[in-house]
Amino acid sequence: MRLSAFWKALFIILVSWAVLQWAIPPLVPISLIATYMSIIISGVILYYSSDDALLEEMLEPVIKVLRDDDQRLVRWCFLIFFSAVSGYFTFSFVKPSITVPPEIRQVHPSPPSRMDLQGKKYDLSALENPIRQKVLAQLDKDPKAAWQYYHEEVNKGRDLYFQNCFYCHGNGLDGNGHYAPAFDPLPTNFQGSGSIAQLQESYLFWRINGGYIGLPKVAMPWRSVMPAWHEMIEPQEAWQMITFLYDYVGQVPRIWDHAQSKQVTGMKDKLKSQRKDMSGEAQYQFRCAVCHGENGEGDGPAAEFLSPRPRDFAQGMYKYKTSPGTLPPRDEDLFNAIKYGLQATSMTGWAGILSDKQITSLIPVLKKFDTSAAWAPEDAEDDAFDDDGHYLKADVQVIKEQISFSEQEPYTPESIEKGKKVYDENCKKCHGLHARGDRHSGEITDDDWGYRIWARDLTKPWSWRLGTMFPANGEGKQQEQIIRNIYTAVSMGIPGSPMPSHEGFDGDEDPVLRSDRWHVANYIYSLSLEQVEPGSEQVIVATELMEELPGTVDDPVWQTAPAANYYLAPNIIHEDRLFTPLNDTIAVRAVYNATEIAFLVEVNDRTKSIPGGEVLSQLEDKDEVFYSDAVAIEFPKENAFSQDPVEKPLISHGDESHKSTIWYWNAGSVEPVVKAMSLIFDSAGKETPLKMRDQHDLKVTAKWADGRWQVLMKRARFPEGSPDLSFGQGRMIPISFANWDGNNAEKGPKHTFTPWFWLYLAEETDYSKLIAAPLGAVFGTFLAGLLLIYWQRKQVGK
Amino acid sequence: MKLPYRSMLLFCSALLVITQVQAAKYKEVEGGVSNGGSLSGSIMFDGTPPPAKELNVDTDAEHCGKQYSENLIVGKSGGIKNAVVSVSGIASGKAWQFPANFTFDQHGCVFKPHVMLLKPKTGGEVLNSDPIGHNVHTISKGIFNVNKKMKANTEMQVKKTKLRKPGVIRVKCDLHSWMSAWWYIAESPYTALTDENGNFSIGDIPPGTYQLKIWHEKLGESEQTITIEAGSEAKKNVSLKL
Repeated sequence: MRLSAFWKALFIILVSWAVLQWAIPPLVPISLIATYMSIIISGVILYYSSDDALLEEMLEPVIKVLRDDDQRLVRWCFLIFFSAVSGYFTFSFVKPSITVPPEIRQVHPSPPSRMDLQGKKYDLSALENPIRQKVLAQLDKDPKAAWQYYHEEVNKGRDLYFQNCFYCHGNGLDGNGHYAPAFDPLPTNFQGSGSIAQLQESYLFWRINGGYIGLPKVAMPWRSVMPAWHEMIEPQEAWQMITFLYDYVGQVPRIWDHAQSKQVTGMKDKLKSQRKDMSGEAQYQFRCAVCHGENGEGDGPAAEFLSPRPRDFAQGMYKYKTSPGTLPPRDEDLFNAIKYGLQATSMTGWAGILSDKQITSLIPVLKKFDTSAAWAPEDAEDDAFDDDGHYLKADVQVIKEQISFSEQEPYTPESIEKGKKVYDENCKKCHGLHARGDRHSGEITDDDWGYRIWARDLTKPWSWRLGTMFPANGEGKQQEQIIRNIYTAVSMGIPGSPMPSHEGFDGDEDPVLRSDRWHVANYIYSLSLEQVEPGSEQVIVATELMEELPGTVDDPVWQTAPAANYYLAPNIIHEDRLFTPLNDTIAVRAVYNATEIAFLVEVNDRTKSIPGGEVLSQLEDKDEVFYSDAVAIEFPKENAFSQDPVEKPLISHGDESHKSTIWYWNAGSVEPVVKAMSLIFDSAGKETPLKMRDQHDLKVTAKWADGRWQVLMKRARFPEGSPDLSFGQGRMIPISFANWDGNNAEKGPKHTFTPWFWLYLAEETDYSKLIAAPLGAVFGTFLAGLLLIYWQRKQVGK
Repeated sequence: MKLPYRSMLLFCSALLVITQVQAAKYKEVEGGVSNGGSLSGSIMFDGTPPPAKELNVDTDAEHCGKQYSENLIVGKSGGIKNAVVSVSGIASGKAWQFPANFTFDQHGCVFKPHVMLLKPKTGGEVLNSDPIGHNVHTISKGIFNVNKKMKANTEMQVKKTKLRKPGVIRVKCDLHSWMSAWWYIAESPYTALTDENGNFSIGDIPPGTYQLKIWHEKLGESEQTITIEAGSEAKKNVSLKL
């Protein structure tokens, strides 16, 4: 059948659109599709209007619909359809919407030709890795010495990486470190052939030492938290790290010298083949020992920078197990912990890097580290153990028994209510009235190794070690999975921590009934749904109020303002560095009226840290240092940012040409007597000390209760005669936050912070515009259609 | 960087020393030791003993009442109770004359006894005689680590195979932070626990020169050299200070 011109034209247009929409990866932006489509449509129209006959053929069906008597129904349908479409488009055009300004960033900007480091000049175009040069020079003459030197330097680089970089770039070098979720873009993934394999080593040297400060504008330095490492490490150490990076991911740098490139590739291939069939022991030393220690005692070079500390495998205690009673974990538990990792810890999952077979090969290694006879047969002779208690024979047990998930209580309001009662009776003493893990405000609790530990904040599911990914308890729906994970932790306890088991074992009576454990698991799951997921909102939308702004943190008006929640990352990028923060998120709401703007900042903080105050005085005999809790909000100065194209000050304190203003509140102290303070600071980058302003127009009200600080900060929207920005309606304003947990010895640069997000003062909705404009469009289109039909039908008569 | 707390450091170092000594797996000699010597004496406190510290009872105060620290108990004579004295490095010798079972109770929000001296592979029962719940949390270097919630008036069995090797086990209750106790698993039967006057006595020691080890939860570990002559009755008094 031959298609008529009209259908052909329509077909061409639809196919072109489908190709643009779906066939071209990655996603083509809608604006670009619109441009291409308008060109295609113009082309089609041009083609068909070039010849009268063709035009007539194409218009024929249209004219038919417009004129013919038997097309009456179709005509009306089209008329209504087009009117509705025009109404819809007008509505979406006038409806208030908040779009985040696009920040298109160049990932690998071109390096400068030279770099000055601590008085020494580096010519980046000719710069080579001195470690690699030395290895290559020696490789043919004395391969043994060359390889030994290479391995030594790689190991030094590994230790440096794990003491400095892995918090963001991850234990698998895949950009998936435990503080990575706080940032956008995510830290660079070194794995695969897409990143460092494309670059010369001199490029890495520049990126490591230059950090964000050395990035050109096209790379959006304000979105990076990569420090300028030359402030903290020596150039030689940077080269060790670089050598380690390529070694660990099994890639070679781009090298122009062909002979050298071949040599380096040869070394890589040799290593690759050696590592292909690594034994479990070798794999452990290669991948795990840097945190867990050569002998599995949780004391690797990175251990002291981590909280929680890496597990000490000598004690046979594993936090999460699905075996009943005092039995050690099942092999599946160990496998899952390695494969999927433990959420919100530095143990991120190894799924992408180790195969299932490689993970399985690690299990006997872990068992061998045990000195507690956990997996030894019960009737093992004393002689079967060495002096440290390691079991020497091969007949280690494989635990088959699994705890029972039977009689699970369905997730219902009744069950949640019962669970609340069980919680109050059994859990509240440690986890606190509102489950923020704050009961031990006045006491230090420690784990079996003597390290400080806290009851989990049960309102923050992202901080639970047993994440949603952990499939230890069988396949199921996500909700059911999480509830089972909670039930497991409640029943088995968390070995090595103050969390006891609540299921009877070895024939003992259940301290908490099975049904009650299910109810409490349901209750805790319900708590996990209360908070906004961190990082889910890029924009804090401030709500406009016609009345006076709230003066207290409890004012119900706050509930009408939408909350945004952000991850806090510790400052590990400048001295003094903080590696082990306690507070991990900050929630924010904002309201404003004609003259003022107010923020409600909420931080779950288990201790009210005011030196000399009630809560801390009980802790004084412990070897801990305490400071005052504090919170800050940072804004760029009026002239220090732009929305289009986006430009912002550097993260945390800005820079010389993009200065910022910091609103700071500090809880004060009882001993020595220091009143709570609300201060304004001027900031001009890390190099310049903060300048405290002699201006006291920041009004702060703060309250700590049951493991949470609520801090209300209020200030004028239009600061007169000052470079501070104006909080005008309808503009996107960069905003960032910082928090000091005094109880965690956080003071000065030792604190947590967020990168920049946006604040937006929503304009009040103009309903007349919102309704009238689309209605007008509908009516107009309808009228125009009627006229067209009338005119066309008149043509018939002629 | 956060450091472990002082007491834990002390505890860990004490554990370290002990885990190293456990090298010797003690064997009983048939027929016992003939012509052995004996050792007795007292562990004395050097200085003015501090008054028992009142502890912060911030949970279940209505039931638990006032609590005082038991981590240093000095008798009228100046002797230190609950110190463990052991003649170390004896790989074989007399038969164990230690109880075959133990009973460990939680009563009035206090662990009883405060220090328990056991031989390896002793089983026993842990009671909760209180009308409120506790959790029994044992902490050790690879000996017996358990943390179990115990309801009012319940008991729990500890199997013989659990306490299989010498060393120190600290026991605490995480609900009532002041509750604390120690289980000391002896390396050999040449080990004694001091009484309320700080006295101890150890018999049937094969003649020789040994290290006399003293362990105390608060005063840490110390060592003395002693020589035991065949058939003699040696005396040794040791003074410890804070």
